Amino acid sequence: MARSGPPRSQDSLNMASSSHPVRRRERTATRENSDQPLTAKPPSRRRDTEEKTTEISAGVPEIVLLGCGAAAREIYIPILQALEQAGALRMRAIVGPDESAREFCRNSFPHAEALSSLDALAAPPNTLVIIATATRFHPTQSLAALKRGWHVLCGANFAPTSRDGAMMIAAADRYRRLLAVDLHARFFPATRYLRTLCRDHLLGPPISFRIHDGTPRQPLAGEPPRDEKAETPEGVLTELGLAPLDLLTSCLGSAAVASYADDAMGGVEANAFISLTFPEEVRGTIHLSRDWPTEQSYTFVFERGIVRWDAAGASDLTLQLASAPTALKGQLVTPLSAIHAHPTARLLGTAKQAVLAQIQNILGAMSGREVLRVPAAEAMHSLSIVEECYARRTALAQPWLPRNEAAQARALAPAPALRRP
Amino acid sequence: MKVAIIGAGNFVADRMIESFHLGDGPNVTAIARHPSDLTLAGRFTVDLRIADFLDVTSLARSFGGCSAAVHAAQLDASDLKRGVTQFCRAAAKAGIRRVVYLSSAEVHGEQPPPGSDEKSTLHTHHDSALTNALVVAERQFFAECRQLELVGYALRPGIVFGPRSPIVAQVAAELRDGHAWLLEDGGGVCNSLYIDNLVAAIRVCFRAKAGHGMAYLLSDSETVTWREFYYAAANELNISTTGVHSISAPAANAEGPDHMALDENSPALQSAASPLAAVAIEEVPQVTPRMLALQRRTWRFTSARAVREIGYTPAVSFAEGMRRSCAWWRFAQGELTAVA
Repeated sequence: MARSGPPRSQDSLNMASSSHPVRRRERTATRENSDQPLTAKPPSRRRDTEEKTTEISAGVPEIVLLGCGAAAREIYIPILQALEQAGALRMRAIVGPDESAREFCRNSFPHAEALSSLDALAAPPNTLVIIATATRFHPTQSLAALKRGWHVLCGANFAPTSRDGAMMIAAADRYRRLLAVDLHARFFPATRYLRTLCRDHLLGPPISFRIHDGTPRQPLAGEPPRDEKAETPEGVLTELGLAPLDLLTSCLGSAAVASYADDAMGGVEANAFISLTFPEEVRGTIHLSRDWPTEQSYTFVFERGIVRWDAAGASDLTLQLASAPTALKGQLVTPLSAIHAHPTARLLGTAKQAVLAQIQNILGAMSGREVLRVPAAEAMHSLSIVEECYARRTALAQPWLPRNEAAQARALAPAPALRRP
Repeated sequence: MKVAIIGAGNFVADRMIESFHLGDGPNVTAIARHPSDLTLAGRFTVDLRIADFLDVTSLARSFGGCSAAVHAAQLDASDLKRGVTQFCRAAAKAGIRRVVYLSSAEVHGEQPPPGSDEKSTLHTHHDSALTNALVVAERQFFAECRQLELVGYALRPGIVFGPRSPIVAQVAAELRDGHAWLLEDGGGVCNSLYIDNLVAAIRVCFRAKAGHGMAYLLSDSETVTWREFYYAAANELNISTTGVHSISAPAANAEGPDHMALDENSPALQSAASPLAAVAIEEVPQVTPRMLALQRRTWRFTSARAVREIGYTPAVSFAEGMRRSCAWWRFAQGELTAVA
């Protein structure tokens, strides 16, 4: 059975002292210089008090990176390099259908195999497959990896549908392997701070929110010229929607979709607008775009202030206290004390450290030293919201189109509940 | 009829794909260099292809099933001539006879002399390597069309503006942030062309019975100054124009305006900025040589030949074009959440 218990309370993972082994490890991580990789510890045979339902992996874990696109290059490769240099893991293989992309990624791990598919790979049970491919491939790729006895970390765009997600989780249970989902933003000091604000009402109860996220896709570095029929790109809600929805649900509770509109006109959407309501009448909107750069900001309005997180930074927040004459922009650092002299304030963490912490947690869970903090089940609620959006879909207003084209755009918009991401 | 459009991912090509698909056609094959360039085309059920724009075989394969092709790709200056050559040869190889090449009014130089039109002799002695490359590319286009017996039209649009255009995004952001500026009173000629008028001209080329083998300058019906351009945008965006800075350019050197040395960091340029700049540090106009050159233009291109020879009609007025452009910009900032 995968480690799919209820979500851990993120506001319990604060900088206050704690005796929980997981929290101690995290505090160590955030005190480290961001450029210093953590030292890998030998895998432990210690058993905790929970019923063991997942086979514990021994030895240095081996990693297979499946997918050689932007997510692999920008998110995973730098962290995996650091962890490999620290002896915490060993890169076993880079897998992807395009040879030039494979070789580009393999430059970072010259000893790793470069393969076109998982079928050709032989790897031991303590292997973690990181799936950094398009969402529609996740179910079959996860299943293939789990069947082979490997653990899986799925990219943030977990599964195309909740049915697929449930199938993947069931497969992980059946093969007694871990299935984690990449929600590394949960490890950001800024998002944890937001969760604390929302749950503990430090600025009063939350009232509303407004999220803008997404930028146009960019060509991959070193991408060679190609000659092929192109695949339809992924819809922006499928590709980018889970992360902001996860943050909102972890901050505010269960969401209800008030409305959803996008600009798919027979194909897939490049722009999406979601309107959500939460308990206590908290309302807000999410604007996702792969069409034009957004300001990539998450703004929460509370009774006694406004807090804005710029999504590019793991510790960057802007705070506007009610009635204060200006806003304050800064980074989250170690807490002040009213009584004691405190050491030089340290930055709480970077995005790179968050990804590192997540992967270390997965490696720790593989060896039985830790409880998995981002099991796949954590993504299911957000995934169901995505499905509800598509089910309630309406055509986005595009007032810059001539009347005849606007009418045709509405006519071409897919009917609700018939969308496939 | 099916048309191959190379250059998906830039705003002109993307608007063409959108307009053809949502309008009266023709059917489209959208061709890009990278998968990441197909985001907007992917909203429709059109054929999507990736091709190497500098490879005849790759392009010819992507042209399969099409009876016309449009070159709307934005290539580096060093690739322009080869790109046009490969485009024409690929069209011929794929059995396409009718081709449209999006050249540019820039072939007339940074400061087109009075009287410039399609009959003006072009040259390749401009300071700008891009301008020289555009001239060479257009000449190459016609040479290839003659040799391959293609029915070819080269269009020379002025400043193309519209939803998703860089110029609208730049002007809107400048106005919003207090960085907008005009050279002197903003009386320079903009030579604006609303994107849908360009698309209309391309459509005309698909069915024109004559007039091939020639270049056509394109502009909107109205003569629009840069002041009018900025003020129209400000009006649509509900931004006051009192914050638009007025600057004076350094005096021309003895060799004439085409050889003016423009240093955006020059003390002369900075000191000529609005007095407000000394007080509001953030609101300093961001003057670029490119925009300075554009705002210094005094000659207005006309579309007389296009109207006469191929039946071009700029149907969308400048005011309506600016309304649509700003409506899009507000949407792009996340301000528009209305449902259709």
